[in-house]
Amino acid sequence: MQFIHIDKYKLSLEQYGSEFILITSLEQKNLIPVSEAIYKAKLNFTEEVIGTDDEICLKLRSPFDKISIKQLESIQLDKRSQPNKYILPVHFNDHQDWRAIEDFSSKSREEIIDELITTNLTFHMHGFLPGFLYISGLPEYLHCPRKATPSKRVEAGTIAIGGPYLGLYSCSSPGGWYSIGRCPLIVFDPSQEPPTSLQHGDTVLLESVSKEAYHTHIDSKLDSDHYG
Amino acid sequence: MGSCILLQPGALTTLQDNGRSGYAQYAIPSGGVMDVVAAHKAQQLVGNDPDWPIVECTLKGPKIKFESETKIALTGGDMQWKLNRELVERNAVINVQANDILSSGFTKDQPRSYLAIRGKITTRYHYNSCSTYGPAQLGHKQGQALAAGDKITWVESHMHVTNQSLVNQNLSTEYIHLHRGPEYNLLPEESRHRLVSEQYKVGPDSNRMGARLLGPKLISGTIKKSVPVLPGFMQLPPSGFPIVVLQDGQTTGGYPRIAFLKSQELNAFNRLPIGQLFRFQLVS
Repeated sequence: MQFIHIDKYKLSLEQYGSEFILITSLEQKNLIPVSEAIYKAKLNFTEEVIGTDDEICLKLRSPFDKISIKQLESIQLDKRSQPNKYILPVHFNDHQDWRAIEDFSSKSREEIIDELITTNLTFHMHGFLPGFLYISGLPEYLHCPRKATPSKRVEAGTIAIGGPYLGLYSCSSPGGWYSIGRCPLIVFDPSQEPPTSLQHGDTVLLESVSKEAYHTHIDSKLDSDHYG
Repeated sequence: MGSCILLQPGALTTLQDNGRSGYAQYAIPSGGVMDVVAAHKAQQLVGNDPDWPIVECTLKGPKIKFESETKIALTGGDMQWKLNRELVERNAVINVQANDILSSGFTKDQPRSYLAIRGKITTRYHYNSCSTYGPAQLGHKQGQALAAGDKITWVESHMHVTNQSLVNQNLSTEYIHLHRGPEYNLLPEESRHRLVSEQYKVGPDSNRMGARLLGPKLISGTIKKSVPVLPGFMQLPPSGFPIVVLQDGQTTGGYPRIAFLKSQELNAFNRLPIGQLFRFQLVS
């Protein structure tokens, strides 16, 4: 175990042979901004950078030594004056999962939608599957625990609630979150580098759209501040 | 241009290469060949660059009609490969002519077999890799496995077949070496002991994302939040049966990471026939 500093973060670092390194916070701080900064630095010794709230994993490509630590410690975090703002159009459909959410929150679908479209949400992180977005900022009464038995198939574009997060499924997959609607936009495009422009801390606003508008915007690309 | 056509697809036949590294940040798994050693050996035999696309066959091989003359090599599992109904040798260069038919059956041992075709297969790349990854429609055929009627085409190669002796990497699958993972300490003493003293086997519902192990049930504490995972990590879900994360596995997970396999050990692990008993050995 070693202790290092990246920007203002006090971190501990544990090496697992020549394979990987795990970095944790000594102050219980969220590490997503640090992992984004390490990823952007494209350090020669890292093959993969995976960041979660409490831990960063660096898969090693080459030996990790004193120079590597210096490289890590010289990383500066992005100082953005203002986060970007993204608007996600959502067609709030009549998915059967709504009933469970209404039961859990003791609020009606309409009340919940009203609150969702007037709340400033925040893009938190990637994870789970390519293009899956974890979006934070949900009111506490919507923090539904995940389904005991995951649904076999959740369609691409689904907006769902799981724990403290609103999620967007960019790929169809099995999933344990509660579906509340669909977003027609492509937020994750593997023909682009990087596949998405969203960064930790960006503001996400939901805009309720009709089924017709949903179909008009299908396959449009997500763009900062506007869409379509 | 050379070409061949799939008459029968086999159980799961996909185009792969060495995968797309560097995108786990976006939850894109590296993917790529499951048995790097066997795949590279086949490529070397036909004089291909090891980074070029190769055909990975799982459990039951395909039936393929060649439309042009070329050289091929077959490595990995014994899928009883036949050329025009005659058994052919694995780990050797085979000359094929137009209209030759390569056929195969169920594997007799390792779950994966590789077919290298001399030349560079034409395909679609995402992040410098053609590796087929279904969930995000990445790589060849937008992430779909090869199907009957699919054509494989390639640009003929002018690279020399090197006669350098092949490094014969004998990967032992009798014991699979394990290292203590970040949450190894969550295993009580009895589970630590069972993990390495009793036998396991790879369960039938395993896939390119993960190998579900069958064997003695383990218990462990839980973790609160999702943490990073890499191919080779052994997770312990509440069922008590460990899962080894494989090439197409998720990049984060909410289960304790009790152990990990290094790349070469993962290569050996991926060679284990489904259902064959083996033991783990803890190394530090």
